Amino acid sequence: MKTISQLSQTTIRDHLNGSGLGLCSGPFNILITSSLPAIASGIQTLYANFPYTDSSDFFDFHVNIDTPKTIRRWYRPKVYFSVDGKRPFKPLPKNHALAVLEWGLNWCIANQAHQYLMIHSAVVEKNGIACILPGPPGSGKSTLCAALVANGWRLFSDEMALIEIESGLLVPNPRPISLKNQSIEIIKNYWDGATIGPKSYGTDKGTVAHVAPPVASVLRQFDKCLPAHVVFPKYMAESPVTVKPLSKSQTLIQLVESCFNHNGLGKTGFIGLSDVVDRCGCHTLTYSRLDEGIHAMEQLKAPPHV
Amino acid sequence: MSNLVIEAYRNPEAATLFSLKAWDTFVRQSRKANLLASFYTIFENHGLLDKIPSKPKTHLQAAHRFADKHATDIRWEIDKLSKAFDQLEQPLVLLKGAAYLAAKLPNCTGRVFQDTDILVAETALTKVENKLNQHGWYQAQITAYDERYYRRWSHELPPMRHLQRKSLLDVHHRIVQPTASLNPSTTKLLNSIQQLPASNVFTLAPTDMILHSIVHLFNDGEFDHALRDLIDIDQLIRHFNTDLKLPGKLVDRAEQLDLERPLYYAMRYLRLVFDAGYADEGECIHVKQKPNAVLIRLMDHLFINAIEGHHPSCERKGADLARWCLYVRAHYLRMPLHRLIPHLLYKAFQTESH
Amino acid sequence: MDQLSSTYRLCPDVLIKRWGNEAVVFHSASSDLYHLDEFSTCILARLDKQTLSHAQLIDAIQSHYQVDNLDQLKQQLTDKLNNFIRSDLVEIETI
Repeated sequence: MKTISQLSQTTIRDHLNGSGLGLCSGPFNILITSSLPAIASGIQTLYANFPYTDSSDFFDFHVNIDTPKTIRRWYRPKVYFSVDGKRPFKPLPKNHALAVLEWGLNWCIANQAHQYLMIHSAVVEKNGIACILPGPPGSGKSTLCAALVANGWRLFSDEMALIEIESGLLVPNPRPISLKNQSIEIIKNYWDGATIGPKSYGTDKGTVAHVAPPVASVLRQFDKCLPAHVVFPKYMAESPVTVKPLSKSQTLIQLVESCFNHNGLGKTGFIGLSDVVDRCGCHTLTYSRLDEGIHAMEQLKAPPHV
Repeated sequence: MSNLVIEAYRNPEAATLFSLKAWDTFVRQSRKANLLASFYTIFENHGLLDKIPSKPKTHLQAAHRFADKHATDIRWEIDKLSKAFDQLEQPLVLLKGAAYLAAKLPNCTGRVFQDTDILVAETALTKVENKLNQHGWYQAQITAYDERYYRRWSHELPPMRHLQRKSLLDVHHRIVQPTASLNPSTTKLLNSIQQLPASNVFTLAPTDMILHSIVHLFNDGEFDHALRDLIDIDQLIRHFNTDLKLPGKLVDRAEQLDLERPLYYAMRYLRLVFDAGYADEGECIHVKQKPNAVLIRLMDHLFINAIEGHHPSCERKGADLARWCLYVRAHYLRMPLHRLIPHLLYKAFQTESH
Repeated sequence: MDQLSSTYRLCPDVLIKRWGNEAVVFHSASSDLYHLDEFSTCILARLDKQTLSHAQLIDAIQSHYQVDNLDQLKQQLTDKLNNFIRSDLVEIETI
């Protein structure tokens, strides 16, 4: 399969400036156009292992990220993200372009991909045991996710679980893992050989940087898998590592609350999430040290019926 | 690229021959026109779903699923309204999307709309407003200017929002603004309402429902969804035209309700855009109300541009200007010029400052 | 409403997911979500299967719980049912 790493930076720029660069990201084909060098180099760094397709294909999202053709180009330059000509957010500073692209793609998926139940969570898999790690911002979900991936877990997503409604299967969509503030240094020190993109300073979320998904996760980005566990991670300074069972009904309530499109799917959504809870072991994980958290995750066995 | 939405609507079979690239354009055009979910139903009804490549089919299914839930929400809203109206000696008369949904009309599937619209006799407004307050609907927060505008010049109360459910309700006492040059009588409309089976919910009579949809398209100035609205009208007419006498009835009713000019335009563009066979009759009968040739040429240019060029992939030069002209025209139809200009200026200024 | 001549049933838009003594109820039209206590689970799980009268519900609860004060139980059930009706979870079917 043709991957982005086989393209020169000039070719990537030409595509982005012309009819678009067709990125195959899990179940989504994304056609990206942009005249910004930061986007070209960011894609080359973070999406190197991803396949691409030519512009005559079907694309799920047509996205553009550019500076407007006004004075804004020079004076406090800003970038707009647009999907099929529509701009869902306010413009943001130009040096956040790469982060804006990632947020924009998340927006596209969350707003259109209702063929899936979408849960705000990280998803990782090892030895056929896939774990859904829901967590609000600040729970340390992305940091733990990056550390698990550094330890050979397969990345499905650091941001949302995509669950096929008919089959209940988790659909991988490994994209760059978003790290914030101190997490960037923590992961840089923890994960030898991690490919970390440029930092965006002073965003709404503080300093943001993205880690490229490992090639093994990208190679298997079309291999779906049933979920085995739902684990609610919580980073707590100085805390010993503890894994506690969480009741099924509590888990379901929390999943409904973390589900982006539960209201939009109605009965189908509730039945789908109930099936996830039925199928999975349900736990909370409190940790302060990444190694202990990972060790606890590796002790999780497949529930009897998976 | 041409307008594939119109092509697929006129001949759903033709869509099965689309290339992947054409499907890509079709999905984007349909999404923009708010028709993606409707096309799922159209393809389903024609037994064509299996012939659609999986990628575009996924988008149709996802939109369909979402619209389906939206329909459940609106039915729930109608149920709540009917409970409030049970305590009034007033019929609950649904308009537009809510009416299509309650009456299970073919164009109800796949609509996603924000507000529920109802029609109430002007004399009953206070009573209805009070009852709705008791059931949790309150006026949404609007500016004092908008409030005055609504109360004085509009054909509806300021929009109401339910305290818990946050859903929006528009209470109309006329189907066009009191200042408009057209003057369809609400009493005549209310005298021919039709009760839906096993409920206390009413809709307008079929002819009136169609005429309302037409007035909404040609006089409301919201041309972003012109294509969707025209398809609505076509679906309604085809549904009710079982005895092939509907066009004649529409002409008669339009005369009674003072809506001949909009009907003329609707029939004209249904014929020009969809090649609708029934439209000839409706268009030709009332020659006396026909606009002059120059005006027709101008309107053809504006409407066809606005309807066919709804997405960048099929946009023609001047489509934005055409939509703007239609917006001003719609306001001109609703308000006398000396009120219109200050209103548009105020609105333009407001948009700018946001 | 006369309780003796009425039967109760779950509203059509309501889904209930139960694990033992705990359950979650979802109202698919209003999107309201409820985490049920044991007593409520006991009532709604039964109404999920069939339409029941007040008396039949009392029997069902008695088979599940040790009940000392029957009058108190009846009152509790009435209050609960009224609550459910207000929340559009349960509707009355008058014979």
